[in-house]
Amino acid sequence: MKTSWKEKTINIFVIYIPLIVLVFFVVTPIFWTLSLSFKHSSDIVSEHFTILPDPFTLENYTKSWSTGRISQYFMNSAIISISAVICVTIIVILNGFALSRFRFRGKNLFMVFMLMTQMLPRIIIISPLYLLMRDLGLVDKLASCIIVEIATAIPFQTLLMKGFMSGVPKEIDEAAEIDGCTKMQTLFTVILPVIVPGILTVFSFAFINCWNEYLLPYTFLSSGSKFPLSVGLRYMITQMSIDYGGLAAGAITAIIPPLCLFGYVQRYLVSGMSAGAIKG
Amino acid sequence: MVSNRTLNRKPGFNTWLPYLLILPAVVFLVTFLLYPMIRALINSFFNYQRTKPKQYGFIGLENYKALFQDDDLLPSLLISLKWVVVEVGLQTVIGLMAALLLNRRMKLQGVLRTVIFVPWAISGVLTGILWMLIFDDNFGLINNVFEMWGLTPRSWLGNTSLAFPSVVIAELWRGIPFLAITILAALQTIPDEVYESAKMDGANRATVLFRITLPLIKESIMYATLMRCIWAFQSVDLIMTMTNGGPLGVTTTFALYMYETSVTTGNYGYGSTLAMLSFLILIGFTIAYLKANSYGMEDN
Repeated sequence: MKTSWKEKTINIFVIYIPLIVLVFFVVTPIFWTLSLSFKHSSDIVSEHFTILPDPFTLENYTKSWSTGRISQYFMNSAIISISAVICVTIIVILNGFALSRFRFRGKNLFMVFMLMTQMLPRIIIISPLYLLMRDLGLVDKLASCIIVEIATAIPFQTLLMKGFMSGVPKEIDEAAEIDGCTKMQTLFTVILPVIVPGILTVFSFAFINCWNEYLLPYTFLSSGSKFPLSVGLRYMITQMSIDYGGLAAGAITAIIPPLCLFGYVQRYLVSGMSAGAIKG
Repeated sequence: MVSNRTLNRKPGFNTWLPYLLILPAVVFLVTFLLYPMIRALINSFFNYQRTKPKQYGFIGLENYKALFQDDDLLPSLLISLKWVVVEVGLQTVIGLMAALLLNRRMKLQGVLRTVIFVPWAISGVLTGILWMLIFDDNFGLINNVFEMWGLTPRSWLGNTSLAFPSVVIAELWRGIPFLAITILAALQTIPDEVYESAKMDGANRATVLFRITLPLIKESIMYATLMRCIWAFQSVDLIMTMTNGGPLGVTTTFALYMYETSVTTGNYGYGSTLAMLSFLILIGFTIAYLKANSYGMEDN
């Protein structure tokens, strides 16, 4: 079908211009921060304003990484996120297996309980959580963040994993059991190899959420050497004189890991969202 | 099933197996989500302040009575209301627009989706920092561009009438993807034939949108906006980063006020009472929202 001249003009106004505005809105803050991060600190504060860095420098990255604390914040973020996500993935695999392959009394209760905890805003329980960590002697220890992040991640990652496991036909289990596999052997030798992409998706979603977590570490941790990137960068802007170049470089450093994983999970976003499994 | 039972060596073990499998999850959820919730409820009946440990004790409903004498409470609730309504309203309209645009078959569709969805993966603190660098008085992009064009630079985050809209724009940036993704997922469930037959009947774009597309994806929009309302009501990280509630409290939402009371100031008792209030507000809101939604369905 040929589109008429009139329709083409309408298309420009209802499709292309809104799209360009939207892309411009999304890209501008990232682009500007990227540009700042490559500017000399003297150029950032100078009267002469340029959009692009001129001259281009890596000084902010090298300085914030070596003399600043960005490298330490990065390591803390990595330790918290990776240990939490490994535990979450294991717990969620066991959960998904139980929910997709067994009928047991209390199954529905467990599902409802998980959905309720998923809806529960953490701001409501943050002060009792802090008190609990104090009683457990975990305040100002990375472990406090790790265990609470595991708990928060379980509900929706379980729903996601259950979806992936239910996609594996039950006949495969039955065949394995006829061959003499126990239930657990079936899980590890038959089901898990099939759902590797699903496991990686759960891993990526959980990692992005843990990496971005702010409220828990901000509440539990008090010494600067323990801060993850989210808290460390927030701390940088409360200083009397803000190092803008370093802040921009730190922000870009913090964005890179979730962005890399985003590329992987993006294709599951649309389908995962319809399953109601993704947090906002 | 019978053959399975005879084949498995330990039938007793298999009845217990699902409980063993979910045990770690149950332990985590009960200890770190359910127990704190119960403790918040208990603390709300206690005088429990970090700075005054000697006054610790059961005080019945005193904390709840104190809600009515709290001069900071109502303003923060109103700011939260404004925050949720403006934020979710804008996110829904623009998210719907983005989803409709991204659902069209066109060149670069994949790239455009990736670009527009990217803010979903960026945290509240980082979004706050990115937009601070845009709104900064001296080094921000907007004021620099304003100066270049001969306009007067403004103190975007320091001015009592500009701070709220500035923070709204930043949160909007981060919130559009969630709505766009959810609505796009719903749009993809509508078969092409629906549109084709509408076209055959001579329906124009507006008719198709309001009579066909929107009614079909209504439920998804309702779900997404409900989730977003709960999320916007409780989120603190972005505002904390950009204005920390200022200037003069114009961006102090109820969630931020609650955090300051219970954690920063260490008034665990009264802070828990505020938490219970917000829990009741959320439950009440969710029930009212779902009811209003299903009443709307009956009309159709």
